[in-house]
Amino acid sequence: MRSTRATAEPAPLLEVADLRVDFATPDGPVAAVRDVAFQVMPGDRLGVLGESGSGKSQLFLALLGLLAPNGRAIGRARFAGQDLLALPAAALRRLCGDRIAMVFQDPMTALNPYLRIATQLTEVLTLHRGLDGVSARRAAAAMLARVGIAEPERRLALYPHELSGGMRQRVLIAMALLCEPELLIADEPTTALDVTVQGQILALLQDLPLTQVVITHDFGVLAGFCNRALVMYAGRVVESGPVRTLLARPRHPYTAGLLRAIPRLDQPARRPLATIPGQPPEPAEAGVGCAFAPRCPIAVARCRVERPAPRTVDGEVTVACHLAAS
Amino acid sequence: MSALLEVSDLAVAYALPTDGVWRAPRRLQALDGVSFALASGETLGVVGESGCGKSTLARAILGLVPPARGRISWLGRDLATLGSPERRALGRDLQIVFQDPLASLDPRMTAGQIIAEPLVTHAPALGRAAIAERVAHAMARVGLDARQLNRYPHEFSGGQCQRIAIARATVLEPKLVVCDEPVSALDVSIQAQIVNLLVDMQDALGLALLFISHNLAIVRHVSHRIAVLYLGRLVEIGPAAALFEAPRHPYTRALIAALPVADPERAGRAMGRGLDGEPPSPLAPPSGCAFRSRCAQAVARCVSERPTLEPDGAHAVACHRWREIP
Amino acid sequence: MSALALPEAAPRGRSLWRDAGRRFAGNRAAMASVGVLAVIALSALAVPWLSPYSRDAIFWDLMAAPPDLAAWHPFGTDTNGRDLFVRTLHGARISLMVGTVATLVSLVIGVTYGAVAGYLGGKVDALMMRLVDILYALPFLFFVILLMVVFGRSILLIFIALGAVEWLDMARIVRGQALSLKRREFVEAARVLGVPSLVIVRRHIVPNLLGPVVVYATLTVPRVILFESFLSFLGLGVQEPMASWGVLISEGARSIDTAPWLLLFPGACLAATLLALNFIGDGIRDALDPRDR
Repeated sequence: MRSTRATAEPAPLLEVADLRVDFATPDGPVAAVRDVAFQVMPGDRLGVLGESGSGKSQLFLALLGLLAPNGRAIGRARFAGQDLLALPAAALRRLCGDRIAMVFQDPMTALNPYLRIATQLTEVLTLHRGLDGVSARRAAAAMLARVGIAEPERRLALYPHELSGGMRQRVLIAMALLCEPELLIADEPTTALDVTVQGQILALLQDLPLTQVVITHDFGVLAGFCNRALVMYAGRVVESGPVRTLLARPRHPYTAGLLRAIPRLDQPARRPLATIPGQPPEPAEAGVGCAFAPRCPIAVARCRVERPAPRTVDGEVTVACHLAAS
Repeated sequence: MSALLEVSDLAVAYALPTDGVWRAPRRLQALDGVSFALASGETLGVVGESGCGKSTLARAILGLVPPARGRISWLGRDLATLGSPERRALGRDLQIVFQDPLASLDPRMTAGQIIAEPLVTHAPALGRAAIAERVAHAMARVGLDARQLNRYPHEFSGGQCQRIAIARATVLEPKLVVCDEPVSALDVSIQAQIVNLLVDMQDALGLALLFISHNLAIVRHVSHRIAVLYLGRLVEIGPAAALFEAPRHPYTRALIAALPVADPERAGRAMGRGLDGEPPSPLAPPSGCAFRSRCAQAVARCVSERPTLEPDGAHAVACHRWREIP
Repeated sequence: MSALALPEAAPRGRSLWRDAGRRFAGNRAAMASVGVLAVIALSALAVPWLSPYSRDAIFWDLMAAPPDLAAWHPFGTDTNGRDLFVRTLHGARISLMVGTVATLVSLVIGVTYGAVAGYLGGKVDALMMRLVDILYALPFLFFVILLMVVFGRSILLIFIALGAVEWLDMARIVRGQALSLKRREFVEAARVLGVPSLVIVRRHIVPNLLGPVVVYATLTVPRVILFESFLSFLGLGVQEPMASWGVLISEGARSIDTAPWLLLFPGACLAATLLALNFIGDGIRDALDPRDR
């Protein structure tokens, strides 16, 4: 997604190239993420869209050094000048606590059920910022208030199961913000929440002056919150570009298919929904040709034998499809 | 069309473990006075968020939890008057599809055995050959390859497991299938396939469906009528089209407004327009109207008096002020 | 409508048991233990071919003689002049038989009892488990002695006595498993289908709790063998001239100064069997761990 401006532009905050994530399994190595390249500019809200098996979560877990023990990441990932994949574990951990934060998907499992909220929040501060107990608690209360939790002092004393889903998600966001990161990565931040509460959380994230990456499968989140998007399928990026363009004119048949498959209020009810036949491939099934070809309505012979390389179309959009119109 | 299922003033309460030895046991009122009727061949969508009681409704209708109050009638007979053998015989006509496809299938049985179980239970006289034929027929009808019948559930994908569950539920050609969040655990592109399948089966077999979901867009797509639950109470019920074009209850309006929209302009405006506050805990419902704590139109009467369901033709609302709100 | 495929043409699925079997086969300690156990069991069965002597033959000139391979006494002889090798292998027969049969008895009774109690729940479950609690509280040793006194000593009685005690633990474990299985969605689906309760227990509950049951049973066998050895050591179990490892160890302990091999060989066999069974039990537990789908 390189800008066509000729003048000097601000450097990307996160730049990923040739990223590949492999897992060693008893049946041989399995590639969860392949040949991924993208940039995140300061102030961007990048949405990463994909279904199960697309590798969208593994991609960011790899960047933060959080892969399972049998996982391995190869490639380049530069964050503020440092290569994340080349850093030793301790340095990566320090960086991740300080400048990059991740909010995980399920608030219930991401919080330790045996510790009070106060302990989990102040732990971050005492470890990374070296604050003492009292100042840490004050800072934690202030942060809870900032994320919109009423009566923060009282809530600090509670355990995770005593809070509602929306509040737990706010606590996770508060934990992520405590060290004032430059980049916030949120994995499905609204999926586990009621639809009437989702808007509140998105509004909260909207107000934060951070660069953000939101991993989601929800087009509504993409539309309302993100300015750029990556669409992933079977471990690769199939389309990327500004959100408006992507939604108005999707170039890749998978993106177009997904958009058509969502029931919309302006469609007549009880008509068959347009579907994408078949199902997303398992990471272990790597064949030749385009991974989407078996399900693609416009696939031709070339698609089954030659894997399409990503190419830039219209200056801003990158598509990996032989048939995408220029 | 005669009423297949009639629910009147249904209430279900769960007893919770007591706080201390001397405290009275706490009761969680999961459903509080729900009434509706379902006709043959009709789809009633039931929408609501966490804590609204929709799963409890499914379980009460199927006899998995006992009602504390009220009547559930099937084909005119009160279910509470049926003895165990008659209740079990009802399994021919009244079936369920659960939310988690893999969990609803016995991991030690093959797909063929799972689908054959209803036949073995209710029509044992058929004999092995006839049963095998009907199983193969049921698999083909839900789009599964009949050669997969010796495979185990963990060898199938989520969407395929749900197809097996649907095949099991429909192999005896029941009159009503209760679908408890049947697509929520599936990928977006698979959701559309399963929704289409359910509608097709309904048309082919003349099934009635009780379609429970938190996803209003999908519910609208499959339902003839929609019922909206909030904190165990029925707040609005009416024809799907009317409910969407002219929602009367403030909660229904909020749900519709909060629907994710894949249009950047509308989504941007819609964000933050969700409801304020959190759903109240079912343990301590607000007095009067349960929704009043989050309702912008609440007045004094809403705090003191609980609204009853006022029918207006086919469309009924439980709100004191629905006529006054623009 | 597509042609109906014959069931015979459908490929076999990959059941969870087959996956577990593969994992077990990869566990070296467990496979080695299976080997050891096989050697002991086969030797016990093949005694007539392994040694020309019988269990009771007395060698008057070879009392408490040390091991002598040339004279076909690889384990030596005991204080009564009988060949220890043959007696040890006969002891293996008794111990393995007692272990297996008593465990099987406890398995059948315990699984049925526990599955029914756990699934039916409520008052029936409470009543059934109270009975288990009461039986649990009875002092086992007195019970066995009482049985021995009333009915005389017989190998059958030992089976019954041991099985009667072990089923209690099994019932408790199975009941716990049944309680948690009851809440699983596929069991609810069966209830909605209208399957009768006892059929649900047989078809859905029992096969799904076999995993922990098999592990527990495999670890029960060494417990039973040890207990039988203990009883025999005390003089309450198998009696002369039959040999069980407990009896042999008891005799061996008396002669530990003069003829240490009398304790060494049966003791080593017992230890090896117990160790092997424990490794196998651990191996089964690891193999059945559903960590990956």
